[in-house]
Amino acid sequence: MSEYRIPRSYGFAVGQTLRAETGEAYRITGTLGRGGQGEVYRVAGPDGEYAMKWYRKTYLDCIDVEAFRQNLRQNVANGVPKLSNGDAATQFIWPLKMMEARDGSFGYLMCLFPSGYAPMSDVIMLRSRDGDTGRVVPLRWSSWFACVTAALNIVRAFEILHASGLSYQDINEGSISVNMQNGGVLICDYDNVSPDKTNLGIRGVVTHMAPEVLLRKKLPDRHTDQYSLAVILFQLFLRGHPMHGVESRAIINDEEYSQDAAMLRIFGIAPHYCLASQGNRNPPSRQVNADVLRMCMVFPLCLMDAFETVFTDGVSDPSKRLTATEWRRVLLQTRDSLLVVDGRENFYNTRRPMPLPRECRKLVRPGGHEVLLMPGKVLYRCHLDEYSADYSTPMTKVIPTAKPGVIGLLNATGSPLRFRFEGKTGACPNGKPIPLFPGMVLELKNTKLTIK
Amino acid sequence: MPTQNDDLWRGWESTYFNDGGGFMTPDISSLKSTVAENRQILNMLFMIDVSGSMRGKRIAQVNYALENIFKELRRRDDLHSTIKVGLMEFCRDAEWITPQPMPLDDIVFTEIDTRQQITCYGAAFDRLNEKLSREGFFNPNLGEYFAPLILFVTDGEPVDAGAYPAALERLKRNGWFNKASKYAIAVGEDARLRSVGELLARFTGVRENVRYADEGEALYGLIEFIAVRGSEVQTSMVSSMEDDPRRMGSLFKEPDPSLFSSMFNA
Repeated sequence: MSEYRIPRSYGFAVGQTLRAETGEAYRITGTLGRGGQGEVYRVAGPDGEYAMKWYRKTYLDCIDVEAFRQNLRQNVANGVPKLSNGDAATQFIWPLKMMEARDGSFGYLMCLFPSGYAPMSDVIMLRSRDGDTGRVVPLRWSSWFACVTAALNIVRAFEILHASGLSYQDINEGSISVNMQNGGVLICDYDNVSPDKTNLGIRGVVTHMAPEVLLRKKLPDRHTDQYSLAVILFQLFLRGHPMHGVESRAIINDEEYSQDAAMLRIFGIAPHYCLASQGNRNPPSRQVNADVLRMCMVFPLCLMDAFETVFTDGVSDPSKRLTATEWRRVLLQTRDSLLVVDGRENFYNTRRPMPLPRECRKLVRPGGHEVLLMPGKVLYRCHLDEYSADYSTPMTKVIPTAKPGVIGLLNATGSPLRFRFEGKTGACPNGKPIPLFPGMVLELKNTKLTIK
Repeated sequence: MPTQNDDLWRGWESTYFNDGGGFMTPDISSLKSTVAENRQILNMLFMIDVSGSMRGKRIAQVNYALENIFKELRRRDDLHSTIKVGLMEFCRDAEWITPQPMPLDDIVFTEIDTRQQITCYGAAFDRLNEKLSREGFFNPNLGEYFAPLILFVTDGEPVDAGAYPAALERLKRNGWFNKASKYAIAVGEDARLRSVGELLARFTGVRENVRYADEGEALYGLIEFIAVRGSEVQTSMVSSMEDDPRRMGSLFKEPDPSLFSSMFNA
């Protein structure tokens, strides 16, 4: 009788050498992990150290290997998705080199994962478990700013991917890692990234799949990515699932439903948003969905309204789902509704906001986007240039003035900041401060900003 | 606008904010999460034959397997699922060692010992039936549950031929039992009888799920395979419109030539 053992050893041993399709030899120096698709090794070659993913043959046996491999090769050749303005989706740990096939399988090289990143599933649970000792360690965000920045980084990656004509097709929290100090994001498992409307057989994870994919009415594409993206963002902010509530709980705990039938009903046939403001059949349970109940009061209405649109109208109408670009705008508005007052972060524009501090001003961008201003607030390139998506490059900072109740702006834009106020015009040179008064209009290049 | 005319929100407001003031954003660095405590529960139920014939190597291998499995599973920290373990000992009588399934973190494994008694299935089936209920191990007030995983380990033909068929019939009318993935292991030569196999197949509902293990390392490996792989399958969220054939059927339908012996093709 043959005996089966859960494999405890990796397919390759340390010291073994494999060759890239481009000819270079890479020696295995360690192991990094393994999952359903295969194993990941640390390797060293002539151009440095990398991670190497190697597919399990049993996984490849279940898919169209040639199409899969050809798609990966194409992704390697194309490089990380990049826009014409130079913005690249650097959040993706993109495949760099294909490895030569061996024993019916193959793999590819990618950059090593930097330290400081936690799996998103741990970030949602605010804890991590040491794989060796089993010990649980709490995880903490450094700030709400970092949390919203992480969300911005996630949607920006998919914005560039989608704008490049590609779709991810299997967005779920298992592919995402987050730096809770600065909001940095890394996304891996892009094995199925392919030109939009091209599918290599993947359908996704039930909890994150758009209903039409789960119901097999459609294959994954950009629109279904948008649904999955909204689920990811809901998980990140609300720490629950948008379709989990008292109704879903009753279905799950009904012994007459098979497990798959229950999931199909909750996520496919009749998904009911737990925070629906009207006709809600599936509100959060006080016990099981306590985090969602607690967190739904925290965030600005623009964010909560966006979730409601996607998870009510957007369930059956893909055109109602926010594109990644729309999500970026919503998230920027969310981050711009955050102020630090007396050393404490506070969201405004919420359902029950605290009164704004007396000296607070608002900067109104073209299109009505409002940025709350208090000393210490940094403005980024996207705030001062209506055509920029850059929410990371600091351009100027709000500062106190000598007069109580009046705040100012330090012009660090590199250009004069022209202004109009009470019929007068002028320009604040680069490096100099300017006080901000309600009714003032600032002009930088072609962008007009109004102070309220 | 979705946030207008909103009864639900108004209800929460009056519950949470009756002071007329605004809502202070909580300090993110002091936030606590209840997500881990409220994950969907997989009850993994082990029914272990502790009759006299299991004494020695057999029960030692079962103990070794259980201890290792609990450690192995404890390392997993899945966002969507958490495992709780229920342990039943049966021989002439049957008794749950765990009055309620226990989280893996709380288990202090105590070795199972045998008794100088004969093997009966009837009491084991009845004790299982009692707990596969809302009043038992599936209290909806305590959480949400995956379809359970049940593993039945025995080394002999039951002597209660007058009692177990009726107990099995009662069990087969239980919704959670029908929903469960059920496996059985027959241990040692004495259990390698077609009659034992057929009886266990009636319990599992799937012939492939009745496996045979001799007294070698196979018993340990088989228990581990069913528990570890089975728990992954039970809690898997990978897409499936139809019922997952592994979840509803058998782990052993996977095309892996190195799997353990079936009772029916040994």
